[in-house]
Amino acid sequence: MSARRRRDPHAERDRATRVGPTGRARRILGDVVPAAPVRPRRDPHALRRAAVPGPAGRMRLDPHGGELLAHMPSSAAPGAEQPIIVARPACLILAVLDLPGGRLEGSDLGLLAAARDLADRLEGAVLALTLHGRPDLSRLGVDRHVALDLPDRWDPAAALAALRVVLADQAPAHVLFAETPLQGADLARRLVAATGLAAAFAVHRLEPDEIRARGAGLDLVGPPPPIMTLHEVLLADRPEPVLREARSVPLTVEPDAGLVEDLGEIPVDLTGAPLAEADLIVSAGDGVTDWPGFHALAGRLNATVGGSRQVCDRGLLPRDRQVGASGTLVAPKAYLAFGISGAPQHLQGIERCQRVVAVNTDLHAKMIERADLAIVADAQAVMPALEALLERRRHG
Amino acid sequence: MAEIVALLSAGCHPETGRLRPAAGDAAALALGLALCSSGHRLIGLHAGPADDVLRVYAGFAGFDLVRLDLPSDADPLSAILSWLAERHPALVLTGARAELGAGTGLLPYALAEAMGAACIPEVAGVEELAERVTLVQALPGGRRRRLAAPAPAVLVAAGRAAPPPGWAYARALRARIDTVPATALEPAVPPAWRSEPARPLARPVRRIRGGAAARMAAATSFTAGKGQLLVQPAPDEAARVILTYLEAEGLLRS
Repeated sequence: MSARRRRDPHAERDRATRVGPTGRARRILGDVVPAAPVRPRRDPHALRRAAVPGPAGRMRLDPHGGELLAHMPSSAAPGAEQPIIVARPACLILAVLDLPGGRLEGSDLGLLAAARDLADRLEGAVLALTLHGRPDLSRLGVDRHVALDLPDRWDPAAALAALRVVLADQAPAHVLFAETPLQGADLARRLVAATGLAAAFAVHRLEPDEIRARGAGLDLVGPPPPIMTLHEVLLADRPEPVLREARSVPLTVEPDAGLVEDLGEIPVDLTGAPLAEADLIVSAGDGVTDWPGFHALAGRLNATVGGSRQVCDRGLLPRDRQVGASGTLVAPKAYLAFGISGAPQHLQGIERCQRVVAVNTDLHAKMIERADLAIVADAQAVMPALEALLERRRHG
Repeated sequence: MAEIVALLSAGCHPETGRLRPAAGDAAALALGLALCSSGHRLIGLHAGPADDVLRVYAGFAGFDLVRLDLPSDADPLSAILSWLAERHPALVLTGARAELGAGTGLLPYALAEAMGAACIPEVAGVEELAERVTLVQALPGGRRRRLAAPAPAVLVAAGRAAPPPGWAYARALRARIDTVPATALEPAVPPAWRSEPARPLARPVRRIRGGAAARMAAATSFTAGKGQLLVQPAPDEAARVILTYLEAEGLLRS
C-alpha cells in the first residue's frame, strides 16, 4: 500500500466552490481558500464602449477614464480653423466660372480644382470670376473672388467687357475657362479675338512648363499661353475642401450695349429630344402599365422620355428611347426611373446621371440601391399623384 | 435679296482620313440652303489649293462656289476678310471648328471682330433675314432660345445640327467653281507650338486628397444606398417628396 492519501476529487471540488458576489458558483483553484469575496470580473467591452471621438474625428480608446483625451485639442472649438491666406502670390490664375442657371456645376468645380493645382505649382493665387451671383467659394480653393451681377440674359458683349476690366485690373498670368459650348468656350474665343492674346483650346494636359491642347486629329504642344480652355478630362477633379480666404475684390463694370438681343427662351417639347443631351429624363420599365399616365407626366414635366430594354423590346417605346449599355448612355441632371429594377446594363447607362429618383415596388431592387431618392411604391399610384401636384402647382 | 456666304472647309473622316464634307460646315450649309428657298443667294467659299473640297459640298445642292487660291498651310483669315469686304454679305455661316489642322474654332470670332459684326455660336436655325437677323440658338439639354442681331452677322452652326438632306454625285461633278487668286500673309510671329499626333486622352480622374485616411475611406466606403428611402408612402407624400427634390435641384421648367 502506498503511504499517499487517496484523493477525493468530488470533496475537493465542493470545498473549493464558493458562491460569488453575483450569485454564481465560483471555484477557487489551489488549496488556499481566500477569505475575501472573489474579484469581480473585468468587462472586456467597457473600454471600447467608452471610446470618444478624438480631434481628428476618429474614435479614441482611453484606458485612463477620459484623462488623456481631456488634454487633447478639440476640433469642435469655435474659431479653430483659420483660412489659408496667400498674401504675396507670385502670379494670379483667373478661373472664369460658368455657373449655368446660377449654380455651381461639375465643370465649375473641376475648373477651380485645375486652377488651384496650377496656382500651387506656380506659388500663385486663384482668382475666381463669377458673372452672375456670388456663391460661397471659400472651401473651393479660391483666394480672391470677383463677383459681378450682370443681367441674366445672354449677353456676350457685357461678359467680354467685364472680363477685360478684370484683366486690366488684376493682370492674371493665366486665364482658365471650361470648354463648355455657349459658356467658357464662347467667352474664351471672344476674349482671344478681342485682345489677340495667345491661347490654347481644349487643353487636356496642363503642366506649368508644357501643355497639350487637342486640335483636329493632332495635339498642340507648347508652353502654357495666357488664355486656356480646359478639356472635360481635366474637369473631373474636385478642389480640396480646406478653408481659404476667398477675399472679395471690388470691381465696377459699366454694362456694354451689345449687338445681340436676347428674345427669350422658346418653349420646346422636349419629350422626344435626343436622350444623350437631355438634362431631365423620365424613364419607364416593366413596372409601368399606365402608359397614358406616364406620357402625361413626361409632358407635364417637359422631360425627355426614356425606357428600359424590356419596354423597348416589347414595342411600348421606340428603340431610340432605350437607356442602357445597348441603348444610349445618358448624363442628365436628374433621372426619374418608374418601375425599373436596375439591370447591370441599365445601371451602366445611367452611370453619369447626377441625381437618380427611383420608384419601384421591390425594396431590394438594384435601382433602389443606386437611387439618391428611392421610393418603394407602385408607379401607377405615384405618377398620377405627381402629375396632379404639378398641375396644382402651376395653377396656384 | 441678300447674299449669304457659307465658309466651307475640308472635312476629314476620322477613321479613314478621306475627304468628306466637314460636319459643322455641312450644318452651316443646311442653314444657308434653308434661306436660299426664301430667295436669298448662297455662295460657298473655300480658301485652299484644291477644287475637290468644294465638290463634296456641291453634291448637296446647286449653289455658287468660290475658291480663294491659297496654299494649304496659309492662314485664310486675311484672304477671306478682303474677299468679304468686296461682297458685303448679309450673313456669314460657318461650322464650329475645322476637321484638319489646329481646329481651334477661332476663325468665326476673328472674322466677326474684324468685320465689326456679331458672332453667334450654336445656331440651330435662321427665322428671318432683313435689316436684322432673327435666329434660334440651341441650348444644352435640347432647349432653344431666340436671338436677334443686326444684319452683317457671323453665325456658327450648332454642333448637333443635321447636314442638308440628299447628296448627288452627278451634281458634285457638274459644279462650276470660280477660282479667285489670293495672297497669303506670312504670320508676324511664328507660333511657339509644335503639333504632334493626337495622344489618347487620359481618363478623367478625381484625385483623392487628404492623405492615407482619405484614400482608405474612398476605397472602403460605398456611395450607393446613401440616398433617402421611403417605404410604402402615400402617393401624395411620394409625389411631394419628388417635387421638392426636383425643385431643390432647379430642374422644374414649367
